[in-house]
Amino acid sequence: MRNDYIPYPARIVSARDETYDTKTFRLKFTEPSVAEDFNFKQGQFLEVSLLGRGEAPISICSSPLEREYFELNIRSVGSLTGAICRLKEGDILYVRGPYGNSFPFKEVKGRDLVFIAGGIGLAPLRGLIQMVLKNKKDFGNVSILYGAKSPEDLCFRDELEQWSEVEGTSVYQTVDRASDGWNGRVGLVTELYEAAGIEEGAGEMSNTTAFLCGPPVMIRFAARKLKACGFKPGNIYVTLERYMKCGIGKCGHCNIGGVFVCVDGPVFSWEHVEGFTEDF
Amino acid sequence: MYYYLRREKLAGLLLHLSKEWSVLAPFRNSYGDVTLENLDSVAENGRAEEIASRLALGGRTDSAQLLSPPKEVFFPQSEILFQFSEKGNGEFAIEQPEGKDDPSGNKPKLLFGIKPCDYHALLMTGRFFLEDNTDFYYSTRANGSMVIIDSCIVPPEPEACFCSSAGTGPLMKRGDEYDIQLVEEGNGFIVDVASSRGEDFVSGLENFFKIADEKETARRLEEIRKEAVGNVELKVDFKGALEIMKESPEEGETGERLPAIYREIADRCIYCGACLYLCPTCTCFNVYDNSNFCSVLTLLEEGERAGERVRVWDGCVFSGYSREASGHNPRDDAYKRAERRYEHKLRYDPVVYGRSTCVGCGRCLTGCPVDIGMLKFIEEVTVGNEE
Amino acid sequence: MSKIMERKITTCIYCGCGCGLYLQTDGNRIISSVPSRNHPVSDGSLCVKGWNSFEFENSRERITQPLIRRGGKEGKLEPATWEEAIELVANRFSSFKERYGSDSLAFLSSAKATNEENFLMMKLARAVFGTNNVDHCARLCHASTVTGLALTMGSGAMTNSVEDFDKADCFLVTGSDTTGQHPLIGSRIIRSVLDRGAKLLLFDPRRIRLSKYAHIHAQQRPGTDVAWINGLMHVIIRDGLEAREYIEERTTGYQELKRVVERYEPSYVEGITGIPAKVLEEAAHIYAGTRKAMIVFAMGITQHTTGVNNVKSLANLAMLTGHVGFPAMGVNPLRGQNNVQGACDVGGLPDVYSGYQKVENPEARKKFMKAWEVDYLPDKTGLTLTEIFQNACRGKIRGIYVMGENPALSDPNLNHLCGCLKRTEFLVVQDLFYTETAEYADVILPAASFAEKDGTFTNTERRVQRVRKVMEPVGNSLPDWKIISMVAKAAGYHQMDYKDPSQIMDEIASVTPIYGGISYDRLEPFGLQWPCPDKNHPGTPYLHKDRFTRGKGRFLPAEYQPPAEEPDAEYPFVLTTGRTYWHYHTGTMTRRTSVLAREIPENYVEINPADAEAMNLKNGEMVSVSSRRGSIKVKAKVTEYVGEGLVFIPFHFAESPANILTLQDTDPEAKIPALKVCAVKIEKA
Repeated sequence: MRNDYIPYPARIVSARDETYDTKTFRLKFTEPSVAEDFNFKQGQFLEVSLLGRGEAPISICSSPLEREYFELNIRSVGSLTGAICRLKEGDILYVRGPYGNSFPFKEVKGRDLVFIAGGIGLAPLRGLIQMVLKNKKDFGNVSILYGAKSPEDLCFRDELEQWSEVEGTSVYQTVDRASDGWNGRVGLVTELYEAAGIEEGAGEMSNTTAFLCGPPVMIRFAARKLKACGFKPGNIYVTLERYMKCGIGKCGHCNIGGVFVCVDGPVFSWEHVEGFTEDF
Repeated sequence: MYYYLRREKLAGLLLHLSKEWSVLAPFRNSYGDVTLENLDSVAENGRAEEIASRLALGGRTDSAQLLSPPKEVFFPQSEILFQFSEKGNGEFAIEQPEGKDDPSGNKPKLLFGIKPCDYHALLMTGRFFLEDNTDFYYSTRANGSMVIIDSCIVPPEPEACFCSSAGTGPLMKRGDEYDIQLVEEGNGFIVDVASSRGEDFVSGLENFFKIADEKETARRLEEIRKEAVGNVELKVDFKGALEIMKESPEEGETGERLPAIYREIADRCIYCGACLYLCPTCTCFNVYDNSNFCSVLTLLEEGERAGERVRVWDGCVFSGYSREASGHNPRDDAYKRAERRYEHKLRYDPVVYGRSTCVGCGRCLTGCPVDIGMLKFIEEVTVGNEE
Repeated sequence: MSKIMERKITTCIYCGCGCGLYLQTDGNRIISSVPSRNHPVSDGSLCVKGWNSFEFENSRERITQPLIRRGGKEGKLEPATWEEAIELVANRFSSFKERYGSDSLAFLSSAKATNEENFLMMKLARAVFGTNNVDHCARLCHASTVTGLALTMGSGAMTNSVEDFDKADCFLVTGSDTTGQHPLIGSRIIRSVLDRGAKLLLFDPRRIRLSKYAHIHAQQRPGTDVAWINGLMHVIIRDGLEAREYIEERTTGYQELKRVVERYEPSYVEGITGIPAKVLEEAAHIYAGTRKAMIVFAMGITQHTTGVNNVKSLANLAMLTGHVGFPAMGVNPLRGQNNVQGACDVGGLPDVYSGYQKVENPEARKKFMKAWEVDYLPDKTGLTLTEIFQNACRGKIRGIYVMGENPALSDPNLNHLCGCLKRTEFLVVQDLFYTETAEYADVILPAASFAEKDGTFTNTERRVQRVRKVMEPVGNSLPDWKIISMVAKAAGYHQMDYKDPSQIMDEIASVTPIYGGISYDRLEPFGLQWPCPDKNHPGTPYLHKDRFTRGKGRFLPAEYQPPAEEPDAEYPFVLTTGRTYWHYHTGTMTRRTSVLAREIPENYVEINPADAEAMNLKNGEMVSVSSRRGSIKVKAKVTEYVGEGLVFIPFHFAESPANILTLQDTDPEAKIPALKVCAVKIEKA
C-alpha cells in the first residue's frame, strides 16, 4: 500500500535570495522515477522536510508546465524554515506531495483576471500567473496588485517587471512603509483597486475573476472590498494557509469548520469560506 | 443467529483464538483499572486461571470501561512513521516500519469485549483513517481486525456515560453495522451474530458456542435492552443539543449563550488535553522529528546522524496546535479553542459523517481534572429544552 | 514470537503531586501515558506534562555511554567504558580526599532521582568519602520551609494530604501558581471554589490563573510577605479571632508574637506591601472565621532572603487560628520536584541523615556508623549547594559529583556560578542528557530514566510510592543507584552491594524512624504516607494530630525586613522568576517533548501594558533585561498578569537564562537564594 508520509529526496538546483529573509529554491527529485511521476497543478503545495528538524507545508511557486524542476519560495520565520534558508545549491531537501486542490485555469479562460497578493503571498499565485501569461491570448486583461511591508519585502521583483511588459497586463505595487529610494505607492494593497479599475458603484464585475493570497487580515479585507466593488463571491478565489502536519486530511490541524484546508483547499472560492466564523 | 457462551469457557476460547488472532481483551489490574491487553502478555503469567480471574467481561456483573479508548490499538499515542540515517552524501536512508513495531506481528487483531460506545467510535475512526487518502499506519495495524462487542446492561460509569442519549448503546441493534455482540445472561453470554463474517467466525467453534433458540433469544434480548436502557440513569437532550449547534451560532439567543459557555469552559480548563487524549474519536496528531543532531548542545559531532519521524496524539485545546509558523494563530483566544472542540463534535461532524462523533462514553468528564466534559456542555446548552 | 506490549503503573516524574500513571512500551520505546483512575492524587486525571511524560525518554539525544574529557579542561569528551569511567571517578575523588581532606569533595544528590538513589548518594558522601558536603536543589526551593516549619512545628513537610483539597472551605494561597506548578492540586482548588463554594484568598504579586476565582487577590509588593502575614495576625488578635484554647494548650511563645505583630496595623502594612488595609482585614476575617482553612505556599514564599521568616510567619498564622493538626486544616508547602520531599527525607542535605537525624548528634552518628560498618562519620554540618560552588571558586572544593541536576541553568547568578564550575578541578555529571552543566564535566555518566528503573518517590503529601521499570535502560545507561554503588565499590567500600532497590529501602527503613514501616510489599497499591514508624502503621494522612511533632507548637514571630535588592533609578523594575505550566525547570525533559516544546518554544518577559507603553514597547518586540549581574535578550510579552513595575521571566530557557540576572544573596538560616526578587532594567534590543 502507498505510504503518503514518506518523503523523497530532492536536490537544490539553485537557491536565489528573494529578499533579506526569503529565498527561492529550484529543486529536482534525485530519483528519476519520482521526478518522472511528479505532476502538480497550479495552487497545490508540498510537504517539505529537513530531516531531523521537521516538515512544513510550502506552496509550489513555479508553473506546472515546467517539467524540469519545481520551485519553492521560503521565508525564514522559524527554526525549520530558518535552517532551510541556510541551505545551498546541491543540498538535499525531502519532499512529498503534491497536495490540495488547485486554482481554476481552463474555467477562467476568456475572462479578465486580477491577482492580489501580500508579501510572500505572491508565491502561490506565481505559477498560475506564469501559466496565464504564457497563454495570454486566451485571457482578457490581467492586473497584478502586489503589496508588502516595505520595498525590501517585495519578492520576484525582476519578474514583476517582466510581467508588466506583457501586453494587456498591468502590475501595481505598494508598500506599507517606504524606505529610501522608493518612489512607488505607500498604502494598503486595497488602495491599488482604483488604479486597476476596481471601484465601488462601478457596477457588476461579472467578467473578472480575482485570486487572492496573503496574510489572513489582508484576505478578509481585500475580499470584502472586492465584493463591495461588484465581484460575485464565486468569482473570488483565495488560497488559505494553516498549520498542518500531514497534507492528507488526517492530522486535523488545518480543519476550519467542516473543511480541511489541505484536501478541500488550499484554494477556496470566497462563496465557500466567507461565512466561516473562525479566523483564517 | 444466536448462540450461548458459558462464562467458564471464556478463557479457553480466548486461548484457542490466540492461535490465529492477536487477541486483545479487557483485563482488570491490581490497581482497579481495566485496560485492553494482549492475551500473550497476560497469559504468560498464569494461563487460563490468570485470564479468567482478570478478565473484565460481562455487561451486568463486571461492567467496566476501558481506561484508554480502544483507538490506541490502531492509532497509538506515539508511533514511528519512519526512521532515517545519513548515507553520507547529504541523503538519508529512510526505513518505514511496515508494522514492525506492532506487537501483534502478522496476526490480525481480535478486540474481544469492546463496549458499544467504543465500538461506534472505532467505526468512525476507521472511516476517517481508511477512506479518502488511506492512512498507512492505521490501515496496517487495523488490517483484518475484528471486534466482538460486550454490551452494557449496567452502565460502567453511571455518573459519566450517556450512550442511550448519544444513540450508541447500551446494546447493539440488529441492522446496526457489527459482527458479534455478547450480552451477559445467566452464567454466560447470549452471542448475537449479526453478519456473515460473524457467522464465519463462530463456525468451527461449536465447542464454545451453542446454538440458541432464535425467537426466545430475540425476545429475551429485547427485554434486556429495555432493562439496560432503563439502567442508564444519565439522560441528556443530545438531539436537542445537535439542533441548537446546527443553527448558525452568530444568530439568535444561542448566538449569545454559546460563546458565554465557551468562555466559561476556557476559563475553567487547565489545558491538560485529557478530553482529547481520552476521546475515542479524537484523531488529531502532531508530527515531529526525534534526531540526534539538531539540538543546541550537540554532544558528539562524529557518529551517524540519525533519527525518526514520530507522530503523537495532539489536540485543539493547545494554543500551539493552530499557531502558524508566522506566529499568527487563528485560535489565539482560548475560548475559540473550546468552541472548536464542541463545534467539531456536535456541529460539523454530524454534517460530514451523518452523526455526531461524541459517542457518550463520558471519559472526557471522568478524565477532566476540573470536571468539564461533553455531558456538562450538552446539559448547559440544552437548559430550558422540554424533556 | 511477537514482542510484548507492556503497561505498568508508576509515579509521574514531574511535580510533587506524584500522580499515578501507566506507561506502556512496545518493547523498544515508551508509547503512551495514561492516568490511574483510583490513585488518590491523579484520580483519573493528569496535567499536560503527565500526559506527555512518555516522550523525552525516547529522545535520540539521550547519553548512551560514559564519556571522559581527555586532554585537560579544554579537551574533548570521548566515549569510555564503564570500568574506565568509574575507576577514574573513584581514583580522583580518593586522591582529593587523601591530599586535601574529605571536605574538598561535594556531592549533589537529586530531587528527580529515587529515594534509594538519594540515600546512596549521601551514603557515598558520608560513609565512603567522609564528608557532609551533600546537598541538592531543595536548597533552592523549600530549604526555608524545612527550617521554618521544623523550628515552629517540628516537621518540615506538608501537614495535609492532597485529598484534603477536596474538603477544605478556605484556601490561603501565596507564592504558588498552583494550576501551573501543581496542576492536580490547582484543579482541586478550582473545583472546590466553583462547585463547593470554598473561599480562595490569594496573595500573589502576579495575576495567575487562580486569580479569576479568588475572593480576594491581594497583590503584595514582592519581598514584603512577613509584613502582610503579620498584618493578618494583627487583625486577628485585634478583633479577638484567635483560637485561645488551642494557643493555650498546644503552643508556646504567644505573648512574644502578640508583641511583635502589635505594630503591624493594616494601614502600616498597606504602606509596605501595597495591600489595601480593608482587603487585609477582610482576608483575616475569612481565614480566621473558616474552620477548614488550609494555607498553601510555594517558591513565592521561600525564595527570599527572608524565606525562613516568611515560613515561620505562615506557621504562626495557622497556629494562631488553631488551623493545624486536623484534616483539611494545615500549612502546606507544595514541594516542587517529584521527589524533593524524598531527597530531603533520606538525607540529601548537609546537616542530617535520613529522617532528619542531625549529623551533629553523636547518637545518630553511632547508629549510622554501625549500620554502614564504618568507624568514622564526620560530625560537622557540611556545605550547602550555594556554599559548595562558592568554595569551588575559591579552590577549596576540588571534586564535585552532580547527579541529575542542572545548576548551570537553575541556580542564581549564572555568570558567577559557571565560572565556579569551570574552576572546579574535577566535575562528574550523571544525567540523561548533555545539559548546560555537563558542558563543564570531566566525566559524564549516562543515567537511566525513571521509566527504566525501580524505586520510590515521595510526593508532596509525604506519600512514598513506587516507581517501576517499564523498559530496559537506553544504550549503556544505568540506573543511578547502580552507578553510585559501582563508584563506592571502586573506592574500596563494600557495604553498597544491592540486588535491587527494595534492599536499599529495607536499609532506609532500618535506620530511619519516619520510614521505619516502609517496605516495597507494603507500598501496594498506592504507597504510604510517612511518618510510618512500624510494619503495622497505616501511614499518616495529616501531621500534628493532638500534638505537634516537636511537642508544643512554637510561635516564632519575625519583623519585616526589606529585600536584599530593591529597585532604584538605574534598575527600576522588580524581576521575579518562575516556571510555566508547559515546561519543567531547565527544560531538559519538556523541551524534548514535542507538544510542550511547541506550546512555549522560546523565552519571554512579562511586562505590564502601562510600563510597555511608557517605553513604546510592542508585544513580541525583543528587549534586553539587565541586572547588576548580567544581561539577557528576550521577547516582551505585554500582559496584565504582572503589575506595574514588576516583570516576570521563566527560567527554563538556556538561550536566555533568567538566572543570569538573579541574586545569589541567601536567607541567613536556610541559605536559600532570593530568586524571587531582584532589580532590573529593560531596554529595547
